[in-house]
Amino acid sequence: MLKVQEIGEIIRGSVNGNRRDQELLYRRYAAKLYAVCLQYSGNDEEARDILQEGFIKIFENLEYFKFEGSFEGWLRRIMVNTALEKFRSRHNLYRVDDIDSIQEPEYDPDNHDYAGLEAADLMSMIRELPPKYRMVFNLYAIEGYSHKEIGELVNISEGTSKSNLARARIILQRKVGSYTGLRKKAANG
Amino acid sequence: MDRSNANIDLVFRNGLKDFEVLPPELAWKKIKPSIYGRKRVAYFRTAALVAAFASIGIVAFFLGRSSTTSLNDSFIAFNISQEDPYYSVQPFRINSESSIPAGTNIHERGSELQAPSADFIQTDEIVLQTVSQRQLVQPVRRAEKTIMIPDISEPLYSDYLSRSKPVVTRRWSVEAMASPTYYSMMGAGGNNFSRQLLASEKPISSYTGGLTVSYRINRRFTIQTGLFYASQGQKLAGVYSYAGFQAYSESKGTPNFELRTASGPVQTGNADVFISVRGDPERITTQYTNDVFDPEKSNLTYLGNELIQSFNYLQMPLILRYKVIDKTLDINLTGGVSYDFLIRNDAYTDVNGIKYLVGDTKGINTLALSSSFGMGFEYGLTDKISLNLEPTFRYFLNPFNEPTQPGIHPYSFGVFSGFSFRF
Repeated sequence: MLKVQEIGEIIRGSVNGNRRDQELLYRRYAAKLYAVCLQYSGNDEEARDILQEGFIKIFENLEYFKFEGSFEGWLRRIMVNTALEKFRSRHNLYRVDDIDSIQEPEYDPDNHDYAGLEAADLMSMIRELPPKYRMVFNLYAIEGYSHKEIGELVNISEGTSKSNLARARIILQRKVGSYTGLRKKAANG
Repeated sequence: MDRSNANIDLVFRNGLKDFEVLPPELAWKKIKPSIYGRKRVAYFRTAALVAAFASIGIVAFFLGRSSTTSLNDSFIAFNISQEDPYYSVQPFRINSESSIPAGTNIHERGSELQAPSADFIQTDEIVLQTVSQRQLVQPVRRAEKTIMIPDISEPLYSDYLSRSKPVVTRRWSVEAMASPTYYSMMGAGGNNFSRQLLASEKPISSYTGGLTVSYRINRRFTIQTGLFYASQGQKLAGVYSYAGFQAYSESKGTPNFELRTASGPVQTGNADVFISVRGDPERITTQYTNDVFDPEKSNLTYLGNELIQSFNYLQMPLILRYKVIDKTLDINLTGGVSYDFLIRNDAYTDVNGIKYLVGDTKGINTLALSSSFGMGFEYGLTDKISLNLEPTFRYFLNPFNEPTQPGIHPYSFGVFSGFSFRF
């Protein structure tokens, strides 16, 4: 793990155009940020595009990083914003309600055992969500934005944001339920 | 239910907190050229700026030298006959950094001539006169300059004195200037698609005009500010637009179409317009794709096959002007920065000279900082009025559309002409 001082030196070196530092910075954070990109995209190609465009923005704006607050948080915000831009350019003209109708499943909250769920499983579940549900769930549940903020970011109403989140949660709960149910079944023989 | 919602959120938030996935190696290979390329553009830009200032300095230095060493020309200008005997060729030096006004007495002390302290004025045209048998009329541009004293006959210098008038220094001037401008953009970084878009867009006829106020700091330097109005934009070929779509649009306030351009996404604000792009479906985002909606079959009115993006700015420049040559035709070098405020941003189709508004471009920086440099020619028509001609190059220092197109920088070239009034 790099120390804060070392990260500071790498940032300064990258701003000054030092190629070694630029590559070091990329190697240090690429895996973490690629996970963010995957979380916000439906396929690997889109995730790679977000990663590339996001990193170009990071290097272009690195000189404006003020060393006040978490550098990793700053990187993540840029990556999330890039994902949002990509999303807006592709999906903002479609009304989610028209795309598909969700069959709301029967849901029993006490019947779920979340223990043992791997991060990769969770990631797959998020990525299988319809784009708008995925975006709203990520922004609300993972990034901590309010519905009002999400409405402005995604260009939807506050009500639509709430409805999308509710549906995303139902789908995810259903997926988690299926997963844990299968596991129990396997354990019981 | 709330508890379960919070739980599912927490499961994902905590579960993905430290999740990492190594990206394919190809990703870094694709990122690298954009970063290095950008740095090279920054180097080139800095180098160009340094080269421009160095050129200005070198030209100014040499021209400055040539103007101060041309004093002998002044002798000739007085029609001094080469056959006239020179009474004395003793050089003398005026120990002053300023100019000496006409009529100042020069006293003889030993073999030297000395100037007394005088009320100096800052003006180019001065007359130096000695009191002795060797009276002299000699215009000089700099007092601290070794000059030769010829013996000039009385009628000659009297004639010059009678023609010499005190010069009034006018420090302030106002100027009205206008120019047609060539406007375009250069891209650094961005992806291939952005660069393709940039190459496919053609600049439209642009113009800039406005008023400036100048203050002359000294004989060489003038500082200038003012207010300009600039209109610029580009033409997007292959974008087909139709009117009458309102009846089919199901939009509830959201734009029906989003068109990707080098300057940023154009979103339709006019619900009555239908647009389509042929041959490049990636360029447009809409639910009304060609396979879903056919404007011809729906009898929409065809407007045209080009979309025009127009951007209007108010510019507040701060320019430093250096006078390289100070003759009948003055030559100036100019350089400075300008704050450009975006006051209008339209995307429209031109239908027989009438603008049919389609929407606007999103994400354009409303405040831009641009640099400019150029060369100015100034011809004095009268003591107060001059005719000016200034070829000027302008370059936007900050990106045109930071959020979506970070590497795009517009530039323009114009030959400004106008009149200035000194007071």
